[in-house]
Amino acid sequence: MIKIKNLTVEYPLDNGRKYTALSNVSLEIEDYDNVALIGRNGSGKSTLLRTLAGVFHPARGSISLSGPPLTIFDISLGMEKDESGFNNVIIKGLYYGLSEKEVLTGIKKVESFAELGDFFYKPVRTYSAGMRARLAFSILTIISRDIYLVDEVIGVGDKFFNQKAKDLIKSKADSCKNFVLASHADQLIRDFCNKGLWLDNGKVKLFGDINDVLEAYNK
Amino acid sequence: MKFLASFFLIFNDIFKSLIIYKIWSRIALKTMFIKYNRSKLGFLWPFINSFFFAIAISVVFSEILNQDFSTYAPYLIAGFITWNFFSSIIAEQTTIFTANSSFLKELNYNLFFYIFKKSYELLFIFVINILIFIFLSICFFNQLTFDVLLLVINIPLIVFLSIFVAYVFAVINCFFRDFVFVMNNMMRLFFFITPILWHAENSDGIRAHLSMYNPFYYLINLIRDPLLSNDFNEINYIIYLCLLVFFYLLAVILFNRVNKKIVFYV
Repeated sequence: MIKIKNLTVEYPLDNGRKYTALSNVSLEIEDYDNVALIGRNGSGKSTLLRTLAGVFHPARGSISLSGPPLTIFDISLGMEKDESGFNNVIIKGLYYGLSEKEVLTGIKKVESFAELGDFFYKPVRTYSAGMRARLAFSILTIISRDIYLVDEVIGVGDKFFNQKAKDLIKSKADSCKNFVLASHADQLIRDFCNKGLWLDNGKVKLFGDINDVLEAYNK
Repeated sequence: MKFLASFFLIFNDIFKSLIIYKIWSRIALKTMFIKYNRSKLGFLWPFINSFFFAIAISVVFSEILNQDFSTYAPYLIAGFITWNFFSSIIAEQTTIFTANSSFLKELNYNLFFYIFKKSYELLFIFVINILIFIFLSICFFNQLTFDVLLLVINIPLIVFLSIFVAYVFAVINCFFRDFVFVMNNMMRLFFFITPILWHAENSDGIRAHLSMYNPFYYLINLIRDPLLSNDFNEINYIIYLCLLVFFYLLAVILFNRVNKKIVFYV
């Protein structure tokens, strides 16, 4: 359950003025509703995700979430290129709040999901960009939360891994309470979400069934 | 009442980060030596950095300044490892928010999480340096007494002060990016005008002034005096307390006014 009430978020600008990124947004997302954030670049999708994540503080209004969310904004956040894939999984797991023991228990699962072979134990600087993305993505196999906030990260690696990653995210989206995804890919949005929130210039243009919102947006 | 409470809001965030010490301390230990991964001597480097310079300078300067090596060397080494600790706090904590900007924008830890993680790294290296000094002192210099136990109080005092200093400097640096460069220059200057290479005791003229009006002198003495079994000097604690109040108040003002805006500036 996510409740947003009269939410206004302002960015300070260099000239001392403020830019209103979200203005007076109110909505309630029921349990087991997965919401796609739709809108043009700069419409406030990422701002809303970051505010829900608790990293941006509202200028006015309030938000409440039924549990701590897992944020997936920058998939390779905290990747240490001079460390092995193995150690990177541990470090990332710690950042996500898992204990080292929990990570080590699940690390075989991460290793087999990533399909990196021996490279899993080699420094990340030796990886190709696709391999890095695989590693970063695979860590998600051992983390589960009630709420996920995802910003445009799906679509990594080659065709085969892509499908695997999609399936993983899909299983998370199906089993969690709320899954909020900002994306421009219509097919992905339809696969993952049952509700759509169309943001335009920081305001809610439409909130409702995903097909209705997408149809209105694409018109 | 509300005015009074505003002085303590900062402790909310401090405690929230303090209780998840398992997270930042593990991450600190896992990541602090990564930059030495590809070097042969690896994690020995931070310790070599501290002692190589200090010992070499002791040899040269005891000659130049006509000092007895066996008393000058421990004085300089103790002062130098302490100075290294202070200057690395200032150099690294000043950029702590800007350096962690991608974390700040994604994870829901408050700002003190990153300060604590860095403090833990720096303290870890400092404590090992102190232990190495104590070992050297016992083996070669023979002037250690039970005074050294005072460090059990004095090091935590320094760390406590450093949390507020770190926060104040890191916040200032978010708004004025020149600040870190100014501080780097200041620290280089202070290394020479603080009694580390030279003695302040029994001095007059410019030496006395440089030490009397220099806050680093008193802070260094909080660590150096117990290591050298110098007499207990309450002036060190009085200056410490003044600095603590000063930086605490600055931190409170910045916390209440701009803490929530920091993420937009990094």
